[in-house]
Amino acid sequence: MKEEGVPLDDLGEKLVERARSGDPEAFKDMVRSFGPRLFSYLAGRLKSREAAEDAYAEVWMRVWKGLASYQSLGKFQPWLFTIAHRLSLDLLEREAGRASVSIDAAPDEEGLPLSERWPSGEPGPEREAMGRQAWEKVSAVLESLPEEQRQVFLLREFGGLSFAEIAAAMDCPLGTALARMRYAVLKLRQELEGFHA
Amino acid sequence: MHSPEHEERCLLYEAGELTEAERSAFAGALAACADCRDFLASIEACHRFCDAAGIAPDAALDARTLEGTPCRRHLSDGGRGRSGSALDRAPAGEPRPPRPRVSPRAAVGLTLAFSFAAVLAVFLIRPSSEPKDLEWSNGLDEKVAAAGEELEDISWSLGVGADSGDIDRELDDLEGAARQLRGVL
Ligand SMILES: [Zn+2]
Repeated sequence: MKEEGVPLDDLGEKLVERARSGDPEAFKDMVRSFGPRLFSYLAGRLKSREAAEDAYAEVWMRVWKGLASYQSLGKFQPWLFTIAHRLSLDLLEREAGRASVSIDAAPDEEGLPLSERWPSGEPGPEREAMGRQAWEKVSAVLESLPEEQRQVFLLREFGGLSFAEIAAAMDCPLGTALARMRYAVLKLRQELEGFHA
Repeated sequence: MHSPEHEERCLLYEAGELTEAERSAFAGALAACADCRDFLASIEACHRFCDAAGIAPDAALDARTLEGTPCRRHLSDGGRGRSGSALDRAPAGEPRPPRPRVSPRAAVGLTLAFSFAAVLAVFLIRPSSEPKDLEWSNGLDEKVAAAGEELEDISWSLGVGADSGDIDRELDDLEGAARQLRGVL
């Protein structure tokens, strides 16, 4: 899902510049270029497909609102995923609050494993792009990880953040972020043994 | 001897987060430790795997999101201008910003807010035989202005599709303003 040739941070900066100079196509290009990674991140992070879709629209809205004050330091992607990280934390927290007071919530996707929230029979580009077999494996691993390890793994693998940026976003020491990622990599390695995508 | 610290070093090495000196020192350690090389290979396998494993948003979701293509005029005020909603500020024919679903509470609150505004308007414009400087009207203007501001905030938030938490908070503020107003009336 990475663009050929152009580093994503450079691409992000160029798109921000174009958007600020009034190019109406720039925001579309931004969504097209970063959307799949962002959506994968949110899909791995949130508890239902509907939540991931709402969060996706909300993150882009926040990006749009924040573009005017965005500081061009070659860090568009970390900025984007830090917004997504904070929003998903808020949403999960809110959801946990609701779950604790709701006694008759309707059954929904939340009881399903991550991989089953995107049924294989679905038509359209979503299915074409999903790398289903690989996603099933990754989501099985994500499911089995403790929350903090899952956050680090997603920020690193889908958000492309450096470990220093992850530590800052999660407000934890660098060593903690590294230890969490180490466990996640070991877990994925274990799951991948014998699996050929 | 191989250790978890080696593996954390591998992570930093692969991420390009070691200084030049640390990098060359680690390259030596890597050549000498098969477990480190294994772990490095696992990190690279993770990247390959996750690159292949993405879930793309469907076309309808992207269309919903892209309805909000911004322009210079929006960005110049950071989308935060208060002279009307973002929808009002957009030039004719320009696409609207995306709007996440409004929570049921926000929808109910909005209905109440506008009902409240309508009642307030009727009250304020009705012909009155009372002289304007009666004691009970002291502070009324201020309270009406506060309620009006809260209404404007909610209208703006809905216009730019702010998240339902923000709208809920603004509804709480509006309720507060309404309580104060009732106290005056
Ligand atoms: Zn080693």
